[in-house]
Amino acid sequence: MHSHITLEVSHLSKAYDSLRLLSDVSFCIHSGEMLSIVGQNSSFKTTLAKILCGLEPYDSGAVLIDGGPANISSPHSARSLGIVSLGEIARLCEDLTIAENIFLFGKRGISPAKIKHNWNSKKAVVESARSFLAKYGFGWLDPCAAVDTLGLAEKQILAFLCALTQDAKIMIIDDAFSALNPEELSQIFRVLEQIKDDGMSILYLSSCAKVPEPADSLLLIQDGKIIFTASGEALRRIDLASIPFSDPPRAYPKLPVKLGEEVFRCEHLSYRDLLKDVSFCLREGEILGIVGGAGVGKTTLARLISGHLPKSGGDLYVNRKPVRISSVHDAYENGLRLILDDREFGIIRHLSLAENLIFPCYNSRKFALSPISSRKYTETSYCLASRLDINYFDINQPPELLSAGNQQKMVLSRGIVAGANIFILDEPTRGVDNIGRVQIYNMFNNLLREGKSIVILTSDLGEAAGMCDRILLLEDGVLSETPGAAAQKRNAV
Amino acid sequence: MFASERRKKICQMLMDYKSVDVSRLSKLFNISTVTIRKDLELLESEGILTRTHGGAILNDSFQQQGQAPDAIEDMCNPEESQIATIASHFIQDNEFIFLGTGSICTQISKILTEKKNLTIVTNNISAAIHLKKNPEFNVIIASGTFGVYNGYYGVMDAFYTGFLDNMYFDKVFIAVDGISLNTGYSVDNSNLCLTYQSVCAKTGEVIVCAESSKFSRNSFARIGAPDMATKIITAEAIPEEFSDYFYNHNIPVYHSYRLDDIQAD
Repeated sequence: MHSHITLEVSHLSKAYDSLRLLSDVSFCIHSGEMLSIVGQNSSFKTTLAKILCGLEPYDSGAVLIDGGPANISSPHSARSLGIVSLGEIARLCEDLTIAENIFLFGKRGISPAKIKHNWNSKKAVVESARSFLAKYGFGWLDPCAAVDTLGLAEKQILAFLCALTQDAKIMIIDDAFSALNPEELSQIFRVLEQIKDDGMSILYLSSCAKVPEPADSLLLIQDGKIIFTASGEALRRIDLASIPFSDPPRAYPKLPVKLGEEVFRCEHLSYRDLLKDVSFCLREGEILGIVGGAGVGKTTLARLISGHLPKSGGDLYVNRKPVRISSVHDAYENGLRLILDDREFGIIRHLSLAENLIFPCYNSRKFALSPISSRKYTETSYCLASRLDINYFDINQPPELLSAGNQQKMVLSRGIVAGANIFILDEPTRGVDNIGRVQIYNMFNNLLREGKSIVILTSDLGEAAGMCDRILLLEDGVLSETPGAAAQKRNAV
Repeated sequence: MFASERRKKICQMLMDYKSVDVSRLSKLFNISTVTIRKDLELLESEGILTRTHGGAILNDSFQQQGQAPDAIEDMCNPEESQIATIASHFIQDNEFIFLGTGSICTQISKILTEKKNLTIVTNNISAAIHLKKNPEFNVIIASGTFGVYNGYYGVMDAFYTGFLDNMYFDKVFIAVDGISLNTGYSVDNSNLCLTYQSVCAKTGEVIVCAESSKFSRNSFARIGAPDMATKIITAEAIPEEFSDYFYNHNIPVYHSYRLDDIQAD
């Protein structure tokens, strides 16, 4: 069964400034083999996946496909080398139907002869799609349904099936089944076994604590380094929860701040079927941590309370008064501000660093009529950059050139200058190096001292334990207190 | 810089030089004389100065305020003030703490007014005076030669006679003159160094306060290794190698950002 090696990664390393993302990673996969790579978030396994899909370059080491050196310089070249990848966000054409998506991505005809003759036969397309879905055990999906009506689980299944239609020999799955329930997941695993028998090599990256059934070998990755390997029979006997993930010593600068009045409360918040009954409250000067595994709804919760997504049910109270937050504008009016982990809403990419910094200063109506003097604009931007200790080459540089930590500070400054009182941060220090982390934590301290409040949603348990006044666990759509030991938290995640 | 900062600077210059000149200010801050005149008008309306032809002079009432009779140099610069503010958050009610000499620790003593039932042992006389303004505090002064060092009152050569024998501190706050990764923490005065060494042996929590200019500096008398501190408080960002070192040795570093006046109205 294990014949030749399809994919070999040898001493792969990647660093960004002083942050080492991957250090000396080596492994190989044979055809018909599934390698499971398990790592908590911030273990840089996604970086590894991105390198193999051609989305990111690496600094040193080699990648070999079928024994020969492979230059994966772009997603296109990755595709032509036979690599197909699946991420957590399913990449589909939202306004087409399931059937159309399947045939859109399919390279070879998996359709019966009818399609070859009647290109426009919608019925034929639907029928072929139906048999395709049934073949893989997902016949309950309706081929005529438009993709934007599907839930995340169904989209992830569809993305997986579309990947099967491509002529690939290596499949990279990066946390692509986070929204599936156990039945759907076991069906996926059955399909994985099928394609393994057909010779497919599978790289399955996940953060869950259970070894997936079809896996033939296992790697544990932490902080970009492989810390444990196992294969074959030994795999069945492993209990991942018992392997000590060595926690490097971290010095979290937690400042004891006197808490004030309650400033925010949400009760019985619900969103579709992801969040069922979420309630918590927040006081002035308090920093609250919400932890939970991938896909459990942390980002969704963050977006709900900051006006980016409409909630299905529940109430929100700011300063003990009920408020209606149905848009981002409502949230800003109430002093709530969201900062996402990919800084999506923070960085205005087509503006320079200087413009990003001073943007909120000139947001009020006062400046609508008066012109902005360019000297004042330069002074203000220099002043802000130095106050926030942002390391830049040129104040007019594009903001993407900043390191992650500096980008985060820049985004935080928008909220600070605009006078936000409640900051909601999703994975605040993801991708940030130690020095940047200390700076960001100290910025939090500053805000808390002034009576602001912070909610951080994180999968980094050390950060939650080190910096937060209280930690809540989001699981099965509900928040609960964690009195717990580290092991308890780790098992849940 | 922002207008409020500029006005603060003008006030400071007035306190130092007693009078200011419009054309010199406009060259210094690189702004037009019209803006300076507007600033001076505002400050005059607040009663701080009186405008004259070509400039302004400090008002008498303010001149007197600048010379408080109970201390020689009781002013501290903004960096030290930020450090002291952060340090004050670590002091809880009912604690037994030690405060060292220097302007940072003196500043800490000024802002502890709301705490309750503190026992403070100190060799910083200026701090002791400020602390005793709160009658509930229990203030114990070190015995030794009293003098003025670098502009502050203090007792440098204390605790030779076993004063400390039965004491144990919850927290010790010391300000140092030099921090280096090779030699650790150091101060200028060797007697003070011995005092600090004895005090640090009597506690589980050594909090070192230092402005960023003290990093990578080596002063005369070495107190101890870099990992003897349990917390570091500074104002601005410190050099990377220090940040790395402290992070890896489980020593949290606290620093401050001046974010209070950047909020847009």
